[in-house]
Amino acid sequence: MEPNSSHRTRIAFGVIAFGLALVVSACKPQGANSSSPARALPPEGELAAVPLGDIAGAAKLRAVDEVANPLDGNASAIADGHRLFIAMNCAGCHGYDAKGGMGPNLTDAYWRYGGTPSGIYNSIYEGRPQGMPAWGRALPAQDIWKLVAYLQTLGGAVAANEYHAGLQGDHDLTSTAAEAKSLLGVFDNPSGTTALMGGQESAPSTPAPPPQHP
Amino acid sequence: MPAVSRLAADSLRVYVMTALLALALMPESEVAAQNASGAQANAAPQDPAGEWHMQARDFANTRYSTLNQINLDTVKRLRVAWTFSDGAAYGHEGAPLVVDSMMYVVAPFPDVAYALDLSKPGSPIKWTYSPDPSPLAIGKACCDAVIRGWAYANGKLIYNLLDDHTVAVDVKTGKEVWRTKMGNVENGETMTMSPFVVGNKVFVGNSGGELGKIGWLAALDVDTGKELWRAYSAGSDQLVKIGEDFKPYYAWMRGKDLGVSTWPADMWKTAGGAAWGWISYDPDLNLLYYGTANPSPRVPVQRPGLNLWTSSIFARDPSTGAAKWAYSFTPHDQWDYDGVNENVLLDLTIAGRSRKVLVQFNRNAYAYTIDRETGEVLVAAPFAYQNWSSGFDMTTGMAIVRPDKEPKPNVKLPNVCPPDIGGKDWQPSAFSPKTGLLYAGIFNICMDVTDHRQSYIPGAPYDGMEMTRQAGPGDHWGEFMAWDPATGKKIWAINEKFMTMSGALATAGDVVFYGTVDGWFRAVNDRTGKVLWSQKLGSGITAAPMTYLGPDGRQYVAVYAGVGGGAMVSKAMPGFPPRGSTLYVFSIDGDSVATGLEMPTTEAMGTSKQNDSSQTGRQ
Amino acid sequence: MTYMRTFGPAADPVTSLGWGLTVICSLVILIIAGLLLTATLRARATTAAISSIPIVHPGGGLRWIVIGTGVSTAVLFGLVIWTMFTLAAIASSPEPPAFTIEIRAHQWWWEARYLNDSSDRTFVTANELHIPVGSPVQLKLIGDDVIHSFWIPALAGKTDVIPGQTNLAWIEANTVGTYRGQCTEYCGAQHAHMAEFVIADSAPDFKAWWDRQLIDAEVPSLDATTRGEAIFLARCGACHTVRGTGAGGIVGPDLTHVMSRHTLGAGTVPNERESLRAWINNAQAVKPGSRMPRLDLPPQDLDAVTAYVETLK
Repeated sequence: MEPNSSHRTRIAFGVIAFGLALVVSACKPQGANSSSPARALPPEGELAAVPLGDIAGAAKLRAVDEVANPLDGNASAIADGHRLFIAMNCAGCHGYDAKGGMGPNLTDAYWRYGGTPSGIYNSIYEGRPQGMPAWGRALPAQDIWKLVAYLQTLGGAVAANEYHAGLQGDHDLTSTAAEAKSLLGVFDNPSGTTALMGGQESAPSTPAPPPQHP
Repeated sequence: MPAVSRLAADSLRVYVMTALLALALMPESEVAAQNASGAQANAAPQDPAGEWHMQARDFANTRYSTLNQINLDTVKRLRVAWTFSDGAAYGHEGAPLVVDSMMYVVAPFPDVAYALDLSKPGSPIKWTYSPDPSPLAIGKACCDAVIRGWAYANGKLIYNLLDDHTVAVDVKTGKEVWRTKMGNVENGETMTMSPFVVGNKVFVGNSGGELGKIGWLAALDVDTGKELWRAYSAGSDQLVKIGEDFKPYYAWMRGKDLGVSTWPADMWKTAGGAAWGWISYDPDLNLLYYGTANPSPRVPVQRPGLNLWTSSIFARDPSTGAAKWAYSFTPHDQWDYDGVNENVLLDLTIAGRSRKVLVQFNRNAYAYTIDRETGEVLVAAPFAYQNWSSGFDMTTGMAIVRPDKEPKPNVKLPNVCPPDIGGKDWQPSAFSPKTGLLYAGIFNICMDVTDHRQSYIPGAPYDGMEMTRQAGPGDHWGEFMAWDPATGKKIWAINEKFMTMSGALATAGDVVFYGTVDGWFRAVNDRTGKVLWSQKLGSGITAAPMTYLGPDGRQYVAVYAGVGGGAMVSKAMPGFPPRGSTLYVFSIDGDSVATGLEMPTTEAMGTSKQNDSSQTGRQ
Repeated sequence: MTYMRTFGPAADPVTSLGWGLTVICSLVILIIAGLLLTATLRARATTAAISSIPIVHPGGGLRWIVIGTGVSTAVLFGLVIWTMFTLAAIASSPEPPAFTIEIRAHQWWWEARYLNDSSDRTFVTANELHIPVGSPVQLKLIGDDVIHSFWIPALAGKTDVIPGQTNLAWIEANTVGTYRGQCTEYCGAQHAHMAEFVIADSAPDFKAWWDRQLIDAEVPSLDATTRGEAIFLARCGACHTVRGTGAGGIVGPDLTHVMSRHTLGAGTVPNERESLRAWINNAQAVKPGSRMPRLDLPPQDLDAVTAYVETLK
């Protein structure tokens, strides 16, 4: 019948447009990579090749430490990480509240092997000498990052670029480290004081405010 | 002498002689009249009264010393005579051994052994033995990297390393005589228990039920360390060493291969049932008694069935390991109550019949008096507050489980009493033949528990119990009590704010000793329970005290203060002490070997004027 | 997966009721339609003829209403009673169930634990259930993550599987055969690929199947399968169980006898070599969003693992 054909056509277009919008929104990928990483994630093998330790390889260590957790702050990853923490028996050693038991407390600021996201990733991936199993073969990288994301919400983890400061309980000093480096060239002295003869010291650094955990 | 006075003198002499004779011949029963329960214990192997050759003092596990210099009158004069720190921070749970004026102690991980020369002032170290166990074991030990005791036999100090080795050290030289590997620590197995020696055999068992390791007890040759037999806590009758001689008292423990058929397909291989507790021995019956720990995983819905032979006690022939009888305290254990606590062997009269029994204060809060010839339960009475069962059925020998206290996955079950660590954990009790009573530190704790179904991943925990623990009724966490094993009644109790997780020591001086987790070491009148003396030590006390006679003829009491192990469940309590590693040795007035003598001498260096000319340089 | 033809006493009464309702409703429709047509198509008088007919008001119209209402009420009442009898018939099995299967629904697969009085005859499998012909089987449905619903149309109606609660259902098959089912409560991205299969066997076949399921996995003997087992333990054991090995994971399905099942991924693909290989290497391409991660194994490792999994018959 003739009346209101243009009206009906408009309705038809509206419905189609609405339907298309629904389809398009459903095609958006799952939240996995919704926050872009601080920098591109190195391949699993390279992360795992980072040695423990301080002086030897420290420069390389620091560069890798600036890798942030690609799933940092992702709510569904954190929920999955919590689920994995129980399902993979982490809670059996570290406690259901992660406050320690057979294994150390994961909610405090003390990390034997580094509390940056990549440091925690490595400890889970490689295992550690006093009984921490190596999960790198059993868990894919995505799942390990989910566990790291969960642990980061517990309050003890250290920001990505604070490996040494975190080990020593200091705050972020990378800005003074850069300044000292430019003054001293080769002698990289992140503590903010110099070892020059004659006792001349640069002004002691004022501690930066506590880092905001992501 | 007049006839009358001679008669009187003669009579007096007769009376005095008779009295003296009567005193000399006074039978035990006269003394036993003061013995409330009528219980007696066999003091075999009758080690010298002033020495301490095994953790529990004797095969019957009485932890009773006949020394009485320290008694009701003198105990208040106890002072520290000397101390020794072994430098290891983990929980200290063992008691020193004293043999031949030498004291032997082993620190927790890394399990370094020390020999202290008691004949010299200050008891200096004569030798040290460092076995270097693998640090991997630290992360596989469920309940701290502890060592619960060590043994002495044939001139050797024998003990277990956390990483599944048993070692024997020559006590004269401190050199290793043998080292036997008993298991693989990478898979989650550790060893924490104190070896037990009978004759030329040493018996050792494993830990690791929380990581899905099947439990076992093994016998090694004392001189060579060669393994003679190993009996498992689950699996076929052959593995469990159940044969024709096996005669359990209750029908539900009779059948073929119950160690397989009471588990879902294949789950007996990760059964748990570790033998990490104490061992007793009856030389007349020639039977070894020990308990097995909880079934694995700690989530009961994953393992329907009675889960034999976990949370049980075995009586075995020490030469072959063949099982004579067994009894399961908590079949299908849903709360991790275990069966590993010490079994004190007593002889007493129940219902008019004289019986050879053993008494165990089980973690499930029941104190069992069991006929040690047959495995029949004679008395089962709660010694601590419990609400997991509504009673005990004497005909079946099983407690009646309350269905509302059975945990279900992902559902929080509040206020289950006792908690996993029980009404009493492994901390050993002591028995006094003078009072006929048992003395034990016990707990008053409850838990909220949520189960989570667990995967089995070798080397990782196979556990699943999420718990918070709180004090039971009355708000105190610990209690030290005296118990009558014939009637199943508590005679007196001392409430303690902190857990009482030390062993007990009973002495002929009518004084019993115990310690608390906040570091108080106390001496108590063993009849009335009155605290006679207390001393605050440097850390919490989770070890058993012992007493010995020094080479100077003085009686000493020694106890380690180094909190750890299961006591850490209460570490959030305000005032909970930090770790410690010190052995405290007490004596009357603090007197000790050659105190004051052999001190360093002071050398006179002359006046300052005489020295001027010999000095150069700046002032 | 038709439910108009069923094969067991848990569903047959419903089917009869269904057909009965269909027939009665069809009859009703036919009768009413007939009456309506008659009324509309009856010969019409012309306008003049109508006006010449005197208006008479005969009684009797009420009779039609009374008859109509009475018959409808009687039929409906009868249907209510029939429905009540049907509900009673399917509420529980006529005889005590032969055994119980505890079914846990996960995203997006079915875990089944076969219970038995003798604990060591208890075992766990996934996605494909066998039952003996002619015996009722009780199902305990336990929810784990979200609400699912268990439905084998040819054997029984739907029963929801709800976290925090245990629902009871029962099924019985009177004919040997394979009956497919499906999760019928939307439960996430792969709800559409969450099928279950119930295979009804003759009694001796069923016992043989149960005995077979209890056996541990064979120890691999060839180099390839031994290597495959080692890789399996390292990469797959944390999530999957293969009884007889150190693989004890309960996150994913029990694979001890996976080759005895006809499909993979709860009915997503058939269980054949190529689809098995593709599944192991990249399950995300086959069933995106499922919990099995993408492995991307090197080809020789993939061959080894596939060869090993193929020994799990």
